Amino acid sequence: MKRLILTFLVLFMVKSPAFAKIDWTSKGMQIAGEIVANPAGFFYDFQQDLEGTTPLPPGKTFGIQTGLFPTTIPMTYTNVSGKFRLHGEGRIAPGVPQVDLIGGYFDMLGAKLATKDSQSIDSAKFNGYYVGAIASSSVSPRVRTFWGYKHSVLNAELNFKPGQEVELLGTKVSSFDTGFKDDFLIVGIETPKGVSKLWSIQLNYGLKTQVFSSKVSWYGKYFELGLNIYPEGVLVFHPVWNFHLNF
Amino acid sequence: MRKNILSLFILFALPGVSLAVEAKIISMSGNVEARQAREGQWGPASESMEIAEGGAIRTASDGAAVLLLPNKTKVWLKDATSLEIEQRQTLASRLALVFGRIKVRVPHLMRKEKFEVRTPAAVCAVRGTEFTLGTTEEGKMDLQVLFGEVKLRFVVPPEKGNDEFYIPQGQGLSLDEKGKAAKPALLNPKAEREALENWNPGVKPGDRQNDLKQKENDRAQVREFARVTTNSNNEVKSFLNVVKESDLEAGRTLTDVHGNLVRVDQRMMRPEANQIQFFNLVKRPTYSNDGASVAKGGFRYNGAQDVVNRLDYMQMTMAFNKDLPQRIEEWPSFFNANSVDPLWASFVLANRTDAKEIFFIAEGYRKQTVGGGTELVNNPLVIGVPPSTTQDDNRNVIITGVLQDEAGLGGVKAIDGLNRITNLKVVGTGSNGKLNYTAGGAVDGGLSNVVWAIKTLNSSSYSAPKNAPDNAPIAQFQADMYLVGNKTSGTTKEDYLWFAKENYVISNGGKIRTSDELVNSHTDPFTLLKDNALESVMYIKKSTKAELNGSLANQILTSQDAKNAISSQDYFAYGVGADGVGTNIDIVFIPDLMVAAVQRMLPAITNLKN
Repeated sequence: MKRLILTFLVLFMVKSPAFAKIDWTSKGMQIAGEIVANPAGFFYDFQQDLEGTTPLPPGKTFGIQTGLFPTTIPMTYTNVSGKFRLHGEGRIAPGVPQVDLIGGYFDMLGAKLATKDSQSIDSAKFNGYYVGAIASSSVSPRVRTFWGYKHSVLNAELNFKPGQEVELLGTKVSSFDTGFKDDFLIVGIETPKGVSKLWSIQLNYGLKTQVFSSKVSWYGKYFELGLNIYPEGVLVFHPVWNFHLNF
Repeated sequence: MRKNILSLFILFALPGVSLAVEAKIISMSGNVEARQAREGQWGPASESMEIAEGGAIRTASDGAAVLLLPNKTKVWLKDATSLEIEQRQTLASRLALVFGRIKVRVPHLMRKEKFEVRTPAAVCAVRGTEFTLGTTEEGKMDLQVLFGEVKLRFVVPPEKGNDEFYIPQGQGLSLDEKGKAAKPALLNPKAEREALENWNPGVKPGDRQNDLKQKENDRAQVREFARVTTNSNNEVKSFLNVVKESDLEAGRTLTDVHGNLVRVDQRMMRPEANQIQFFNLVKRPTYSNDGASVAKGGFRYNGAQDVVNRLDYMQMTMAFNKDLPQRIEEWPSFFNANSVDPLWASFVLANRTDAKEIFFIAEGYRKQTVGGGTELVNNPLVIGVPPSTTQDDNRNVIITGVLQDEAGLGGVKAIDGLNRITNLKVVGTGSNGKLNYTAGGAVDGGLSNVVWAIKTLNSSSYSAPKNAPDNAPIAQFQADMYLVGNKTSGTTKEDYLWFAKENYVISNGGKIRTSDELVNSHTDPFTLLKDNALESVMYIKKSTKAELNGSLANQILTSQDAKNAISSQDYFAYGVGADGVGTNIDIVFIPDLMVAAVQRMLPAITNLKN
């Protein structure tokens, strides 16, 4: 309890100078500018928040996951992810790592709702998926390393109502179909911090975009708390809250 | 014969079968005894001795042994341990640890194959697992799972708590007394080390952890390497940040729409403390333009072919009433906290292949009072020409022509003249669109030919194509009619010129994109922008008509009328060309730097708009 009070005290003391230094209006506008410059990149960072790229715990055969924050709330990314163990560690022969297949899908409800009353936009689709595989190997009873690959796709499609098309250098544009597509290499390390409590840190590298991102996660039986860091993203830090079940 | 072959096969196969079904002692040290079958007698054990189902092995206080089961499972027995092979069948094996301590490594089990180890207090079911297990005859036990997972079930269910646990690697369970409650817990480092140490018989206790120490040393070295790498990485990052902050620049090599190789370099700089300048330099080793666009509605290029070292550029300059901070990152807060107003801005496009003879088109903007506030406006006041009483003067003004190195002492060089125009240090004379430098002399010093012109009031502009299909190439042709000087109405066609532009969206290979390729690319905008560029080919053309020339039939009312009024001849002669033979400005614009600048300066831009 004493520790908790002290922590809050330090937080309050730190708060004032920290807030005084940041020009929030400018920061907000700068963020808006970065989103405008690369909307797909901005929205893809949220997709990464819901992507389950840690291996299944030893002994588990499959798992399901859904991102709660900041994906479902407030971004309205309704999503589901799954993991399936293809091979348990050492199953075929000693030293052969555990191999899990991973994948998931999301659909942004907000995009559909936003177009409902629009005068000019007929329909909007905003969704994405990812598929991949994660191999994991124990270097000691309490440390597992994992590495893998994922292919991520984000689709963003906007269709204008007839007569409301946009003109681009003399050409009528009736729809926009943009998105984000990249292949990632994943490498990470996992260690237990208690019974059914694990901690992991991982690094993802986009082969096409040549961008690094990292995830630090604490997870238990049902929930995963994480801090995802996108050094070149619009919002560098994403606090993450996911729900999962492993069987 | 067939019988003989079968008999031979069985004879060869039999030894293998008999070898495969029994457990075998593969290593031992000290006093070890074995009972080879359920009904057998205890006797001294030896290496390679086989122990059948129901058999058992026990070690004395100085003994140790390793047992290999047919399914490749290895069991290490420490001193003072007794182990029985209760069941040994193809799909089910069960060992019973009566007392002592064992380590079990189960490398692989067949599908549906069961492997269990029983103690007086619990049954441990395993699959692809490594673990250590210790027990007393009374039922006190401890389990450490090193790899994989163990399912533990108490023989005597406790009064409180679960009687079954799935214990993953890195965890263990200790039970003080049979029937008491217990829960899995993380392995502590001491227990982990003891479980991982070398259990092979004959190894001295002091040497058992040598391998672990070696591994720890290796890991420490790896950690040190990672630390050094991280430090280097951070140093490189901070260096890159310094580079980024000190200068904003971008560049790309591509092919233009005519097939010429192009190098585009962009830079944002500050010529003065209160100015921002953006450059888009377009360099071509050779420049040719076959005029293929003419048939599609474009404009004729009358200049020379195979021009060597062609250089075109676009330059935007903006001056403020205050000095700007050195670092661009500080600009958003600077613009937010200070009342910063732009004083003037200019937009210059030039063909600067020959520094002594420059063809250019420029637009200037000055801070003026409009409505209740002030804003940057492009109109005749920019060049100090007073408002006309007869016409709306809030129309675009351009300054264009060919600047040459003026001869004689004090003659203004072409490059110097362009710098003065860039800084709006020119004023209109009101006579035939001629201009004077604010500090000395006429812009036309005898060799140069420069005019200012204002957009016509009534004539239609030329624009084609319109409503092109999605799969049509994005090639837009556009021209606006300008009146030379601020005349109330032109009377002859010589008083007019056309500012004509061909705009293309091209790929890095010079292919003209279709709108479908752009808007339905399915790729993110960043990637898209890196793969595309905008090319703008600009001309100043003569007019074949005056603005209000006689009957309605001769007036320029439609885009087609405008097209007909644009001469194929150039308004300004250039090089050794005769009258009507000039050149163009051919800019390839890459959006790379602009995107970065807009991102960083959006707050500043918003404030300027306000």
